Amino acid sequence: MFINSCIPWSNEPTNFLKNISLCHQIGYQAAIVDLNSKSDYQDFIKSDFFPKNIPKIRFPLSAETILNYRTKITPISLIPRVTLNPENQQSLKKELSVWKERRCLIAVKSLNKEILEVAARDGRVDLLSVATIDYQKSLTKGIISLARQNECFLDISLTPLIEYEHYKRTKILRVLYRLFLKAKPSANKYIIGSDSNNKNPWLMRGPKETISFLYSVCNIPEFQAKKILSNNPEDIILRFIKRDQKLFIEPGVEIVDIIEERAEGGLNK
Amino acid sequence: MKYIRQRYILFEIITPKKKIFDKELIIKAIGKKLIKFFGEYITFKVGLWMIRWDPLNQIGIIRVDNISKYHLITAMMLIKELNSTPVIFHTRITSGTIKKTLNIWRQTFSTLPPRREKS
Repeated sequence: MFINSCIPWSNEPTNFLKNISLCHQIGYQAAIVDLNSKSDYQDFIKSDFFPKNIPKIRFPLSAETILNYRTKITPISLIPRVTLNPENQQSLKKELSVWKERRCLIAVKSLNKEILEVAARDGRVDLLSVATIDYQKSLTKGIISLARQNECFLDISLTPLIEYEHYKRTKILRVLYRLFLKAKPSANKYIIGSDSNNKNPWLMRGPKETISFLYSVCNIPEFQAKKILSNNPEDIILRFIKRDQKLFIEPGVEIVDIIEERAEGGLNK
Repeated sequence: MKYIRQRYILFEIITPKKKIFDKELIIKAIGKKLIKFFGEYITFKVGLWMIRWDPLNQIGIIRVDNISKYHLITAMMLIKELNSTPVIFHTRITSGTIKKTLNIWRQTFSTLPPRREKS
């Protein structure tokens, strides 16, 4: 199953539906929707693109569980993600405590290295968004190491690479190449999506094209490239599902299966 | 040295509105992108050849060799526009035989592939 890790949210349902169907047409089965504010989050949750009640799932959790989050009007499953852009460390902690209770994944983007360090260390943060070169440059070895230890995913985008040409493209490639040297895809968890700032859906590319780009240009082995587009986003969505279904209790303790008959018998006793 | 074999790539072009593109225009666009991004050294190895092209449904089959298959798909990925229309090149499948590729064409698109042009 291929998953697009970031598609921008649009308030116009028809436009958004067009983007989703394009995403489905080029080969994705699920996508993570990027929401930038509280109002965006409210709009998305109330819309028909996301199941209003918690959907029933089958155990054990697998990639097929993600398809349960598909509604009638959408061809692919959509998972909400909120991208925080805090001004300082205090505001980051404040926002994290608010968003922790909501039904969404939490991503942080910032040009400030200290904020990124706090975010990488915090267990509540699922993603570090480094879509453009400015954000990629601000990643240090320390932040990358912290992100690896806390299983925080790095979100990159190939959209600016397709959009720009000549000198700008070489610059983007150079920063990406250095990022892959600093944080190797074999050790760090990457996910790739469309850039949320860029609202042009026609710069979106399919999973097979992205894999061949990573293989031929960035020299990433094919199996690792496939992992970036399939296994890593699956992991992060399953993490969301565990939180949403309240299966997660504390680190290392989670509900693996529920046998209904025995549970009912146990309650009657 | 790797043994070189042929690969057939089944692809479709996705556009916002239905448009008819010429076969030569697509080959030129891909070739230009290949030379621009990978240079002459990679491009001469590719051996680009459009085997079939259906202009109405915008589906085609391209023949390349197994080593430079990924370079070709990357070049197709980097194409943004054709005749100032935004496009997405979507590769459906890569196969080693034309027979299998044509079978997949019939199954996925439920249309008959056009006959090969006589050279």
